[in-house]
Amino acid sequence: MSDAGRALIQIQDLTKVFYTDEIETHALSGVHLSIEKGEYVAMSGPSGCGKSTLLSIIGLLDTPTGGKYFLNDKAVENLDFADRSRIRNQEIGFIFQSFNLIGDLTVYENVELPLTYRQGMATPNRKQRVMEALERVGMAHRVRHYPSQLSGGQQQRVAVARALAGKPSILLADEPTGNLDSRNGEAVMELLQNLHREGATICMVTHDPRFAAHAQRQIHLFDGKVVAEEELRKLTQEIH
Amino acid sequence: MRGFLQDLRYSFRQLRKSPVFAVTAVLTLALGIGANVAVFTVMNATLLNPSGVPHPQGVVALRSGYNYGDLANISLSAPDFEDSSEGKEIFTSAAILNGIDFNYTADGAATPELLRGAKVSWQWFDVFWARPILGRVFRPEEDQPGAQHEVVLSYCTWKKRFGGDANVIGRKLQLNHESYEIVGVMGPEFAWPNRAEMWTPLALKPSSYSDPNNRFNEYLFGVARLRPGKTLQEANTYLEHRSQEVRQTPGKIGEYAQVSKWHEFCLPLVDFASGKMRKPLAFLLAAVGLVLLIACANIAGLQLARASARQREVSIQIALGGSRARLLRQAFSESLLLSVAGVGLGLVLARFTVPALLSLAPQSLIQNVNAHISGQVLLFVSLIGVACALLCGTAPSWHMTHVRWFQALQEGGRSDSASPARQRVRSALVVAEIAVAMLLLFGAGLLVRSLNALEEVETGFQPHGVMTAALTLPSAVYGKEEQQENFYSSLEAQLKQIPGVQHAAICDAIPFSDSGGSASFTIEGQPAAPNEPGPHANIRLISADYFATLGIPLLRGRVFSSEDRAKTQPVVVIDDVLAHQYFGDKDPIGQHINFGGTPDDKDPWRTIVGIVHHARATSLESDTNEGYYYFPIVQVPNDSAYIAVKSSASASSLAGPLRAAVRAVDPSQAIYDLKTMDERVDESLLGRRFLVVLLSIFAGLALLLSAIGLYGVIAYSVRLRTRELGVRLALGAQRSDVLKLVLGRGLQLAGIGLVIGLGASFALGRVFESLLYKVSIFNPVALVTTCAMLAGTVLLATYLPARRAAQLDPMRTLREE
Repeated sequence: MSDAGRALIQIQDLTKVFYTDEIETHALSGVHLSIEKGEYVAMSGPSGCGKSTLLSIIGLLDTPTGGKYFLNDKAVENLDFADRSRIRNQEIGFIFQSFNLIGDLTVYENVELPLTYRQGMATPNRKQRVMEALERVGMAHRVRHYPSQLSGGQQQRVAVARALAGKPSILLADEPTGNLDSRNGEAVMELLQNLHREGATICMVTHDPRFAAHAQRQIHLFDGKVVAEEELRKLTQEIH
Repeated sequence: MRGFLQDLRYSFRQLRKSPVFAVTAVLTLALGIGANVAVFTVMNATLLNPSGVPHPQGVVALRSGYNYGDLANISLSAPDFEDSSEGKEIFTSAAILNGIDFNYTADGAATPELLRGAKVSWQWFDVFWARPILGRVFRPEEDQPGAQHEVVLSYCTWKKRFGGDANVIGRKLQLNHESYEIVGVMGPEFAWPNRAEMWTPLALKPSSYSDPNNRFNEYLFGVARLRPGKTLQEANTYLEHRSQEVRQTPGKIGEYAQVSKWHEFCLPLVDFASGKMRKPLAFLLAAVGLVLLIACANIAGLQLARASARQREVSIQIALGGSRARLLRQAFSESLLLSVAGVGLGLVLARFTVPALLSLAPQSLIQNVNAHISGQVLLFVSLIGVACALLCGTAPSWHMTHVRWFQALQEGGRSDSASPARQRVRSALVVAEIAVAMLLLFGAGLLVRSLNALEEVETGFQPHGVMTAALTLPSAVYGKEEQQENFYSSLEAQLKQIPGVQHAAICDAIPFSDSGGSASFTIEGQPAAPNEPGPHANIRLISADYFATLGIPLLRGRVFSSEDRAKTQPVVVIDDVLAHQYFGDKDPIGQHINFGGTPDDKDPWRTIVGIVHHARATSLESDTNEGYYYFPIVQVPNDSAYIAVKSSASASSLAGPLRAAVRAVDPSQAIYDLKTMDERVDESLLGRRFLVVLLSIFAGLALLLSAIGLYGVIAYSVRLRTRELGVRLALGAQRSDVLKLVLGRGLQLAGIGLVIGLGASFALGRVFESLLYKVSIFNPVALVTTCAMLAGTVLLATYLPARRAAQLDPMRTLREE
């Protein structure tokens, strides 16, 4: 538990079981994981290994079946929906593979959106945060544009700005380059790299080893468990 | 044709694949169409094609009028009728009627019954082109004094009282103690006027038609049929020409006709008989038309959503070379199928709703109505069926034939489903629905407020605890004034012996009974000024206890007493309106009035002995602008009368004792029209209640349908925005934030609809105002209530999809994307 005091995210013996038609699917089986503040972690593994499930639990979009999860020293595995929403809004920034910008809102409004869910944040304060975030990703000149008027790379940069605007404790990126061409993919990775250098904590799911290599630390998942890189290679070879 | 049938088959299969949609759409249409058919059926039967009158446009009601008092449109005299009869160039036939009720005692029956009847001139049936199913109608020689002992039965009377006996012709029956021979039986369609049960010849003296002194004795109802090609305007030109001749006649008759601007005229029979129904029915038809529009908008909205879902399939058809015309036909064939099913079910619904509608309508307004689904109704329903198909099918057809088909094929038909244009069309439809619902709700609200205001109106008398009934004394038994006086005196004494009865009265007409007349009179020492028609007021013949029985307060002087007898000083009581109108500051008590100005034995000066409070005569909505003068019935006997008793017990319990009291005086005398005064007053509001109840039902239906439409739009938009809502939840939105977001959209649409609906209500204020009573179209209570009802319904309709949206699982939503 002493580690929990220092780590931003501390996960102990985490399990997640899905029940469908009386069939139990163990998506996560006793995962232990710790992410320090300012760390840049990449999670990888084959399809169905549980990396998206783990990211959903870290992002408080889902709850574990068992185990412990501390975020900033606070146990969050059993919180109700409202508390999870509040923590998600204040502590976690999401970057999705398909950007998930809202088509009817402008760039500015998209970035402002998570801040509108915070109680008592004054409009000037919100505006300042939005503009800062957009400047950090180089999209401040497109505030009045709609997502459909932007390229894929620009949309993802806006999504990053939306994740940053709330000054979260951690950025969770789920295949952030999955819908981008290689040039735009590289640009987004560079952006994340820069954010990390500026002190951001990042946890990224990717299946692309080139992008995983940008991270400070790589975590490999296989059959719902965290495994060492060597072990993963061996298990993958066994399957093939 | 083959292609069209193929499209119909294809559309039928499509509808069978979506049974919920098909059933919802057909039921919605059936509700709208059924309501339209029901109201149109009643309108057709009252205003367009009244029962038993072929070519009703050619039948006119003959009337006369003066330019003072409430005399603009009154009955006519025998000489007036003669003027019309002589207009052979204009009218093919003309006839007159005097309503009469018969005391009829069936063979072996212990008590007499009262039959509604009419004394008619011999051409009565010719005017209506009515032919008997048995026997014949009257001959000219039977319409003569002393020969009037034939009777024509109505179909209902023949069936009910004579068991439909085919040999009934030639049988005798006793009416008012006189023997009559049955000469004919009319068909089931014809029962003019007022569902008459039998007709006898009027048999006026031939001299009555030519006697100039009879000119202003207006008590007959006249009808005539226009010659083919002749118009109402030509008929009125002819009647005005005859009126002018009378006005120019030298002497008193001509002078009076001139100063009073007396004239004869005619108006369409349906306007006369059902004119009061015209505005309410037109209003209701407009209301149900709007309900149907809402129903069509709902179905158009649902079909738009279906068109979105079928985009890929349509795109494939276009890619395979399907023409727009073919697609358009396909799209419309679905609407056509729905409309045909809606029309069929709507007709079935109408069969049940028409009787319900008529049961709600005031009987006085639908006496001649025999509403059934006729050819005209079927034509009407066919037209609205086509209109529904067009209204329901146009927007979806346009969208279906303007698909971005190549893009749709590439993207699996999903790209256009959420297109802002399509969403805007659906939203606009819902806004329009809410606006219409608001218009109808607000209209109903204003009418309810008017009804409340009317219920507060003072009648001028105390109706509570008063039971009333009518009787007609047969001239064969009570032909002499002494006989009538004796009957009334004995009856009054009998009535006062009924346990619990505090007061009992006999009068020629009771308030709110559509009876009673008016007459000119002369005030002693106040001759009418030149070019003035002289005083005129309502006249009532009453017994001593009349004012006490009805609780009409005495203001000055005295009311009649038992001391006022036939041979004592002739006396009169007036009301405060007459006193103010004709006596001004002068004290009327002790003044004298009579009818002709020159007193004689038949028309002596009558001394005004008291002034009472004015009492309303016929309606809470409007009142005569003339006053009343009351004579003791013992001094001016009358062969028909009303009985009124005031009791400390429940008024409705007095029906039996009232019958017994009459039987005690004369066992062969029937009474009818038994009603409490509360019922009579209440009945005067039946027409308005009919409108309020129906408009409220239709407004409720409109609200329900628009709520369903709003629910559909919001639920559909939630489905389209699932990903967006999932993202919002993932970004930290609370469930309440999503709830507010979706509710806000519903309220936004409702708000726009509400503002447009209110704007339309105020813009149509004139239509509303003519139906309102002491309520402004800006009435705050109606406004707030309507807005609150609409807002409540909108909240409920929006809350269900909003709650579903708020319950979304963000993780699952994002994963599914």
